Amino acid sequence: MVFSNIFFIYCFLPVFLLLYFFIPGKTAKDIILIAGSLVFYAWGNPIYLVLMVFSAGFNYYMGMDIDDAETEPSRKGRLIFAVIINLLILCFFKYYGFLLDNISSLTGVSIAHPELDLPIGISFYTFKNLSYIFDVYTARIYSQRSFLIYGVYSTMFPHMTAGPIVRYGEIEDQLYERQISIPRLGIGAEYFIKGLTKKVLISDNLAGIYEPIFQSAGQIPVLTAWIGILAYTFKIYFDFSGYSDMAIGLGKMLGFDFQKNFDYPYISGSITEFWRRWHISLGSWFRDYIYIPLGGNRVSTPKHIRNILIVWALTGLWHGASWNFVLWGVYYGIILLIEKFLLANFLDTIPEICRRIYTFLLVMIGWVFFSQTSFPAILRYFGAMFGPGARGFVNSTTLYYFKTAVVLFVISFLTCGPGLQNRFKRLMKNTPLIAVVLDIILLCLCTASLVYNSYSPFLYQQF
Amino acid sequence: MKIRTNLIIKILMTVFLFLYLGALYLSDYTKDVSMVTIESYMTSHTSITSLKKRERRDLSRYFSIEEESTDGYLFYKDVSPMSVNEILIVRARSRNQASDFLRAAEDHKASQENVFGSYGTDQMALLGDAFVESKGNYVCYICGPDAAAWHDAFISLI
Repeated sequence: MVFSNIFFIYCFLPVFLLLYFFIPGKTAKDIILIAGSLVFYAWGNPIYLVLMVFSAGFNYYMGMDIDDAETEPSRKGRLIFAVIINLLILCFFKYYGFLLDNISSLTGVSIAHPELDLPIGISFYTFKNLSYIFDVYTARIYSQRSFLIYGVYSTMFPHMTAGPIVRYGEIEDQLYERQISIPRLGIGAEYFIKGLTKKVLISDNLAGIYEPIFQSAGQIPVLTAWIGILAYTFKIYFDFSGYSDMAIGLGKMLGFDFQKNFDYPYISGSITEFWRRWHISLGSWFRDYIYIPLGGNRVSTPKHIRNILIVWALTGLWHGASWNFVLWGVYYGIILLIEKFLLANFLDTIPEICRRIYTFLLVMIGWVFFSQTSFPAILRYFGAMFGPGARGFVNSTTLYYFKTAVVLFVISFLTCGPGLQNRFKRLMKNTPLIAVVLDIILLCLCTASLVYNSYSPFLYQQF
Repeated sequence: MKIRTNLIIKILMTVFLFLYLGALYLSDYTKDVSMVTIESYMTSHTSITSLKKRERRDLSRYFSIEEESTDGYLFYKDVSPMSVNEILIVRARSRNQASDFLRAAEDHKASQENVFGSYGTDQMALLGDAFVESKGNYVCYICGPDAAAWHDAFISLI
């Protein structure tokens, strides 16, 4: 099930919230939350429910096991066992086919293997459970002794399928005691509608622009290629940040406060700043559990460079079992190194607007690596963007795409920064009635769009 | 004693995981059957030849799938625009691509339902029983009165 689905919005969610609100007692609410999360997860492909429940049970047990170990070697041994099993599950579903395909290409020996569906949200819940294990090992948190409470943390449906990667320590207090009230329900609903609007009214419509352009990448003029990648740039932001807003909103309705996952990344003045604002929970996960344990920046310069490249290659690989994602990660690793060692002072001297344009252009180029799944496709698209593989600079189709996209681009441009949203917050504060009416109108528009259009999953769900 | 119990629990969890993964692996295992073999079998053992064989242009038109991106396909569709009888079996080059093709098949089914939703009772019944699924790298969209038989024949091959 996805959040942007008529059944979820008008059947599952109301029934679930009614039960959750009116059943008295925290234990009963926890049971309802776990049961609802399991139904939510099992809706599309129930076979993988077993895996998700196993992962929750295994990590619950290993957390206690690590905590109970009396000597450091024993703690370390248990940590390694827990990490291996978690990574085994992730690699089996996500990287096993990729590995065999690469071995086949290198050796020329064809290795047949089944292509299993990727369990929804496997990367998110594996990383969430791993963060718990690491935090128990480093004594940042105590292990949870109640399976019910750990089950709530591990299976909670708002952040189950596409993040944010919520750390146990962030919501530990709320797992024990949380505030469930009508005002919080209202705030949560507002977040949810904001996210739904981003997804349904903006992101899904942008797909109609870049998809035909990507499909004919070898036969398009320069300007069309730029329109295509600009549409994708906005699409992926509104898709993923829309999902995160919905997850945060649902969390608030249930009495949880999740950290924000996006902080207007497209207004960043450098790539370094961009990655502090984009998919914040993933960036901080890699920083805390890979980059810092490797030595971070408190090592020699060559090792520092190595650490950055390792982290960014892994960040790329986390997004998908394909070389284009690794390339995308390394691309950012290299830019971050350039900014760190060569451009740091220079960027501070140029006007803010120039820095933003510089960042936005580099991010757009980055999405070419991300969106094109093979080397020839990447080269073909760059060829179209920069001239050598383009069919001229502009043609009548370009003008058609431009006319189709211009309104969406203007809306995307205005809403990807904080200005419009701050105005809405002020409106909410000063004249709440108008804000509520506006929310209802947006919900109706989203509903109309969902009824008319076919199924459209979230891009990040596939990771 | 406690150490031994912990060890047994960990061994049991690991064994369970391996059994589960092994079962999933075997359940989705498909033989490496070429599309030429599949087409030859389907045309001689089923009634799909009552439909018209379609070419690349139709594949792109109805499913937005480009022939070059596939590892082979079989596409038969009724000549009548009022009919929903059709069979598409397409072999993808990777799991990701198979997911894309499956989505394309689901979109096609949704668009057929949009077209016939308001007046085509018979067509809607057939669409309701249509098979849209992927197994390994193969994706199929099968709709029509004989859909179950065609589907069984295809599954028995892979």
